[in-house]
Amino acid sequence: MRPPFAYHRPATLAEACGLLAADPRAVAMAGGTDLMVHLRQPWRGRGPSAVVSLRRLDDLQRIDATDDALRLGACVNLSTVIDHPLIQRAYPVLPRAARYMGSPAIRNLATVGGNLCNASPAADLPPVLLVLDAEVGIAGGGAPRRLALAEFFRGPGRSALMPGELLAWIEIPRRAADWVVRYERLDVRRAMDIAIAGAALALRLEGSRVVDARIALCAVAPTPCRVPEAERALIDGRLDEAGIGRAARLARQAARPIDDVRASAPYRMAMVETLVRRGLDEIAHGRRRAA
Amino acid sequence: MPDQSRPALDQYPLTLTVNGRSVRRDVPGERTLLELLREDLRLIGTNLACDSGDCGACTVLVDGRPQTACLVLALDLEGCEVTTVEGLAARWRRQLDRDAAGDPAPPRGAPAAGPASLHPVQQGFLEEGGAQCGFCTAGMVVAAVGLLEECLGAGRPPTEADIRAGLEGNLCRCTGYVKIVRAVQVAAERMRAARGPTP
Repeated sequence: MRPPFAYHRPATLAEACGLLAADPRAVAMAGGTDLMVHLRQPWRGRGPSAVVSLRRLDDLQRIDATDDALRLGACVNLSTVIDHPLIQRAYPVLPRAARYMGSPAIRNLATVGGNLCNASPAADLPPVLLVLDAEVGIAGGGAPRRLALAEFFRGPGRSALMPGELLAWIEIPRRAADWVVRYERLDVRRAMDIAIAGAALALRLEGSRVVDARIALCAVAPTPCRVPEAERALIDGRLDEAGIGRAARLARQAARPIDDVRASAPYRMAMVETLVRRGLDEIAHGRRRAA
Repeated sequence: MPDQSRPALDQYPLTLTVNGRSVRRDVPGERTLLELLREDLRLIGTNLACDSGDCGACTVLVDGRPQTACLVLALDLEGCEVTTVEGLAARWRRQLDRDAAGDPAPPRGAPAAGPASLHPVQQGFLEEGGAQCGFCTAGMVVAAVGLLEECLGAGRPPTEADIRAGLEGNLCRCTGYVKIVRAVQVAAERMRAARGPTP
């Protein structure tokens, strides 16, 4: 059973932020797939006084393409990410990562913004959006602010959102559409499971030379995180076995995982090295096949 | 147990369509769609099992797409159209009626759609033995209908992989899924034949 709470369904973003600012115990609800589960877990502390439903905020459901970016409203659901022709064409890694999550019935509810704001260390979209250089837009009482996604995650379950603020959108730069991007995830079951470890990789290649590289990990640290030292090991090199091995080892060294019910910390460290190597190998083989 | 001490203030008006009928209720904020269906509307075909979105037993269609009713606040469905397992046969008959109204000549060689009281997916589960204890069946059938409507609506017959992916969120602890997949394949063929080529 869930404890009782009041219910609001504001028609504007400003009204929603106002409701959240006025009541520190009110919580925003997008798809609800995480929050509804938390609400029936009494060990998470006393429940919210009110739920502020974001269902009526049509602006948060929009997908807008500009000349230099694709902007996803925070309440775009995962099924839409999978089915949207523009996303499929420009950033095919996003539908692939979204398909890892939940089931069709869950993906019809769960939102991109919810996956970020829940700030689970194991969430699948953060590493992918990190390597795509995504930025987020935050609305609240003051002026709207824009933040690099890397600044958004502050700890397990903690984001940069202040009381009375809401995530409004996620923006992916157009330049990222030219990168080769993969997401590798280790899990027990393909559906309805979360990552034991995950690695997103984005490379900009000129011939066989790596011009730029992004590597981000999930489920191996308190927040999803980039691994700059592993990225530097790839940049200006060729995507060969030695370079790939070096980057994968550096990713392992950067990991700070915990032991939990899903896996031990040493296992996660070993697996994150494997995932990075596997993803880079795939990119290298893909290039050889294409050549 | 409903909380009798709850002040009337905490109830909010809700209007939605359930199985083709308009429903109006005053609902507390924390009421889930699943609780509304089972306790307020006595539509107990939709089952409560895990209550956390993991098992799929409570799957219903919301505006034609599968959702787990235990994860949805009832009040979030203002103005929405919900179909439960109890409403599937009527949903199917409405689709056939609409086809007939739009197309004076019935599709050639269309076989009977099965007894009028069942949706082809339900008929498929019956004939192929797609249920054992039955606890997952309502959610399984509803998820399959959502999957088949999407595939057939897009004009592509579902592959076995499509069916397995469509049912990936529905747990069955009895059957091993083989007969369930076969039931959905049988249903897909019947639905396609009964509705003719999609425009």
